[in-house]
Amino acid sequence: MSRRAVLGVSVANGAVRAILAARNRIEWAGSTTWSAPHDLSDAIARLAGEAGRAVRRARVVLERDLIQARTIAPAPPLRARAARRFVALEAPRLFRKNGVPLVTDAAILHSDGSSLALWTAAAPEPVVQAILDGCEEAGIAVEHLGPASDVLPRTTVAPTPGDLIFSNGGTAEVISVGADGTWRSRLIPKPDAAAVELAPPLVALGVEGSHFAAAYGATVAAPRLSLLPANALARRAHAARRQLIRLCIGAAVLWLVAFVTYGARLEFAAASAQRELDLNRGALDSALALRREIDAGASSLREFASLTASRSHHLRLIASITSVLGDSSYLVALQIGSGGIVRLAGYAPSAVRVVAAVGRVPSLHDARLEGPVTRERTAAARELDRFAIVAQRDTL
Amino acid sequence: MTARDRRVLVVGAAIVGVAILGLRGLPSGVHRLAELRRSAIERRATLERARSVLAGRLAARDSFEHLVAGIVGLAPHLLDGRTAPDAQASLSGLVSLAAGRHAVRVLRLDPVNVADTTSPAFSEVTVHAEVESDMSGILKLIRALETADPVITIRSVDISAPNTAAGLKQPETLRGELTVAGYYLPRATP
Repeated sequence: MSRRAVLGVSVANGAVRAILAARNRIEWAGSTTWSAPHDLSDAIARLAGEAGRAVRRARVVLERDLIQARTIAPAPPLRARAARRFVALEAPRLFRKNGVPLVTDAAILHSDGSSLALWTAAAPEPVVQAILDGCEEAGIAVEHLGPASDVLPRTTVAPTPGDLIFSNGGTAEVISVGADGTWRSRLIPKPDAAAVELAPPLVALGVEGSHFAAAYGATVAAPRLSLLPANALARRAHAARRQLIRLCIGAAVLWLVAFVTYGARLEFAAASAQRELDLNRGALDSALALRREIDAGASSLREFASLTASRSHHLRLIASITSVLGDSSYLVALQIGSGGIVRLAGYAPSAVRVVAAVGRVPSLHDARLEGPVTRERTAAARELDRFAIVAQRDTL
Repeated sequence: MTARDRRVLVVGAAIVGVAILGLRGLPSGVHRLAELRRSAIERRATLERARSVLAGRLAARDSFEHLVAGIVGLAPHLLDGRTAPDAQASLSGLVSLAAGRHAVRVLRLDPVNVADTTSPAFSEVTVHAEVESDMSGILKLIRALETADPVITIRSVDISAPNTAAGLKQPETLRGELTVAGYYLPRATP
């Protein structure tokens, strides 16, 4: 996926340089001069127009001769959020004003190991405002505006923590790089040590490569410090707020559209189903009536099968009872009630034996004597027990 | 009215509007949407069931024909008549016929009115019979009633020997009381 090209602009005292780079390849580089802030606006607009293709966003860095950079090490005990306000309040003590208002910013960074440093920078507000005006005239949105020292380490072949020396004409800038990036910048008249090895795209520019290093660095990375003036920050915050409101309204509209679409789809589905039901109502009614008839008929058949299964089997019970009674016993009454109660009355040599015999009938249980057993003399002149037995028939 | 006042008014009106929309309009809309969704789902389910019923129409017709044959086949197993008096008369006739076949004397044959809780499809009628015969005759009668077509069931049996002191030389005479029930297909109520 190709990223959209960003214009890297570096502003030095009297010179503006711009680079259009994409995928670590310089597509276009240009420079011009300026003498006063209003020239700077024109110069930036002119350079942007010469870029050869439409550019919509830019990162601007201010070179060391245009800004003032200070490092307080160790850093005062401040929270990261308070550092910017602290430096803004202490600006008259930290920076030279030269009769113009300054734009300042600060960050607390790791310098060496665990020690912290307060990295600050200040730029003249008229210059910053002129840069913003120039970019606005050219239709370019400034993404970042900060010191070049923040991005210069990214223009070397292999940026490592330590001191890096960038020569630029008669002076050189010594940049101290820590774990969090640049934490100190010093200008020295002549470099004593060898200059850094620049990245291949800059080397390809030849002797001009070191001059364009800051502009190229801006295309590679954004500066950590932001030197945007308060009114620009307020305008950006306002624009961001408006953007957020627009996003919220857009989201609400999308939700509403989704809500309405979903409702319409449900309504359509319900109406379509109802239409189909109405179309088939006649056939459906007859099919349902047929199904009701089938259900009723099947139920009747099941009921009849159940009635047949529950048919009485009294003859079998009578046969079972008579088969367990001895030859010398005889019954004078047999009653099988609808509740399953079976009563027997009769004569036998021993009533107790009859109770035991009745208890052996498979479909009877709880057989017991009902009432007293009396000894009677029968018509055949035999003395027998007259008994009355009650038992419970098993449920079928 | 200054521009600031106007802006405050617009923002205030927007907040009130959003509050009304959020507290009243949105819950109402969501509720209505949920109702609509439930209704659509129910209607789709009804449609699916209707399609299934329509798809099984031919099979249902075949089943119905088989079922009708089965119902018609029930006729010999049920008492004649579509009303309770007719069915009771039919049952009485069957009991009398069975008694006559097995030399059982019918002393009384009374219809019994019982609450019919058999089944919604079939109705039950009951008669109470007092008979007199020997043991063999009564048992044959019971067997005839319990195995005959139409389906008849004996609810209760009470067999007694009224004269036990008559002596062994006397012919055996037993008295039986039977409560017999049968089933009929009542005329469908309109």
